[in-house]
Amino acid sequence: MTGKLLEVRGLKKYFPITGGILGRTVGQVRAVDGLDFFVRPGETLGLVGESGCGKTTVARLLLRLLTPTAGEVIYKGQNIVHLRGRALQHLRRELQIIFQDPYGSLNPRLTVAEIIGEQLSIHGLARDRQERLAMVRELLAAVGLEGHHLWRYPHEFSGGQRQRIGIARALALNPQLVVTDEPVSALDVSIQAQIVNLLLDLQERYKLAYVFVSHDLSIVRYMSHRVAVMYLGKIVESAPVAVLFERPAHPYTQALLSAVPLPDPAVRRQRIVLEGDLPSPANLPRGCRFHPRCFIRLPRCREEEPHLHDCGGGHLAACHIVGGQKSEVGAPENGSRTESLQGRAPDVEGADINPRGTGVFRG
Amino acid sequence: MKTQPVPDYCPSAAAAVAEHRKRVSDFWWQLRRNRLALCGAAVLAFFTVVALLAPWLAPYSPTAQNLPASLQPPGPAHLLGTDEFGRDILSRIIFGARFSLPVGFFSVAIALAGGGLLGMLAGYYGGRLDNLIMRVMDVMLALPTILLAIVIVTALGPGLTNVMVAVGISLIPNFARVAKAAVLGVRELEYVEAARASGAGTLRVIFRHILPNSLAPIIVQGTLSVAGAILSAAALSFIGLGAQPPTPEWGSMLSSGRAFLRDAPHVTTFPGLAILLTVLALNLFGDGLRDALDPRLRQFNR
Repeated sequence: MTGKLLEVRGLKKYFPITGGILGRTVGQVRAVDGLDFFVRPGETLGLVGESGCGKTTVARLLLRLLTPTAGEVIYKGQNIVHLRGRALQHLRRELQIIFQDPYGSLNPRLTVAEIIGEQLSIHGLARDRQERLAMVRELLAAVGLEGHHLWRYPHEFSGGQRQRIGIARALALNPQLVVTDEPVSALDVSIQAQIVNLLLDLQERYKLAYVFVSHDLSIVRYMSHRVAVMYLGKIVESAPVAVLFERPAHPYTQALLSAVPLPDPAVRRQRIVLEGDLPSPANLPRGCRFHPRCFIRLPRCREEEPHLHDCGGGHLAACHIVGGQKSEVGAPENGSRTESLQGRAPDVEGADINPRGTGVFRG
Repeated sequence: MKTQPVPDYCPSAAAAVAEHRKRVSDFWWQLRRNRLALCGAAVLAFFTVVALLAPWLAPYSPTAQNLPASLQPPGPAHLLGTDEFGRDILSRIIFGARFSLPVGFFSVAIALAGGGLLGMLAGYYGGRLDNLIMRVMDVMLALPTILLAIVIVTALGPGLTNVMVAVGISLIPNFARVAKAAVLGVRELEYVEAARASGAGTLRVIFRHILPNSLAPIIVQGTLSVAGAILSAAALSFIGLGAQPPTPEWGSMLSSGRAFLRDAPHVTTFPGLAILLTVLALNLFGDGLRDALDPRLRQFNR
């Protein structure tokens, strides 16, 4: 589990804003603004952040559905950013995506057999129709659907079943890395648990690596081995799941975690409520992009953008206050640091290497 | 591929193939179930047969003049009466189907091919190509359809074939707009992205995923336009650019009978009815076709 299946370096995607009759570029939306992360084989990397922080763009970039403005995406040691033709086609077999919207992600005019079988016929994985159908049946069984569903159309299924079809489609090519773009956020909570557990089972069975994009922290905690928190197109903190949830270093992560409801009404906790709204990615603040909303900001945060700093043990955070940078600065400018989250006893320390988080879905 | 036994609850391969065939026949089944669409199809088939068998069905020659018997009302000798030259109107309508129907269908076919393709390119690729195509379409739309057709047919010279081409070209912008809007709506959907993510080529994405899902408005536009095309061709015939005088084209019959509207309304009524019936039949059939092509609108039939 030490090699890197996928590594992203300095990934950027800027969308131009055009204006005027001539369509001149008048600005840029910096949807993804310099990302670095990696995924090990068979591992789940949770990618969390609020709406509009660029999570979905990252998913599209990894799949080469969008071309990055800058940066490298290295899959198995090969930069895939400029792959074309046959090489790109080959990559498609190993990298797949599961979409958020189970209603929009299936072509309403094709049957299940055609939707899943299309993957196989594009890549010539089945010798003939019979073999293709048999393979589709296998896939349906793997995701908990039945053989007679083959000839049904998407509108005949429920949301959860449709998502299973989407999962079967992603698995058809036997990929090694599956990017899941909010795969359960469009589903009922009871169905979410089923789909999440299905994803975990499939991961174990087919040794899949996931990039699990979500805004739902409890699901991310349950699914992921490591978590990266995004804010306005940048990763502000990344760490193994237990570390991130028990000892969040970045004030944004702390605020996010404090918003997660706890199932125990006896536990009292101080909520960190962020002031202000998410700034527009077309007009980013100077210095640290989080400073206008930060509750512990320093004068320096207005001027200087912090870089990811290693806090040890694979825990990275981009904040001037954490780590070695802390000593250089004076007292926080705005209120005192909230200790509530940090004060919680870490109950997963000493667990096995790369443990998943805990959650309410199983057990 | 994963190795895993095929579950035993699956139907056998033969049964699966049978079910697939049944599904294909569902399309015809659905179309047949829709009574109105069936009526439309029947009327269209009727006119087609009439056009094909015209020389055997028509009681008189469509061009033989009989001046003493001009402007006779419908009666036993002439079932639908005669026009100002004493020509039998029924025979002229029967032969007219040979001109009016092809004019409608071929001009729409031209518009559909040209406009559909341009609209699809504009919608799919967007950006500069879209701008270029749609601005040219805007220029064409700025002129009234009939005026544009007149300009084109004047350049090509009068005649029924040129009228088809002219009407077809003048309808291109309408089809381009409809096709572009439809493609634009579908292009951004996730299943198109999913197809791309699985390595589907541009042609596969367009013809398997985008086109079938943007077809409904184009079909409706097509069936409505056949009617409009027949009328446009009639108008061109009226001003002397289309069917030349003895040719029994419905539109030109309509316009030449206009002078006698007060005294002999049957001269215009019957060709008008023929046009009306064709147009109505086309619209009903078009609606049925659209519904039968869309699995979401299919009624439960097992």
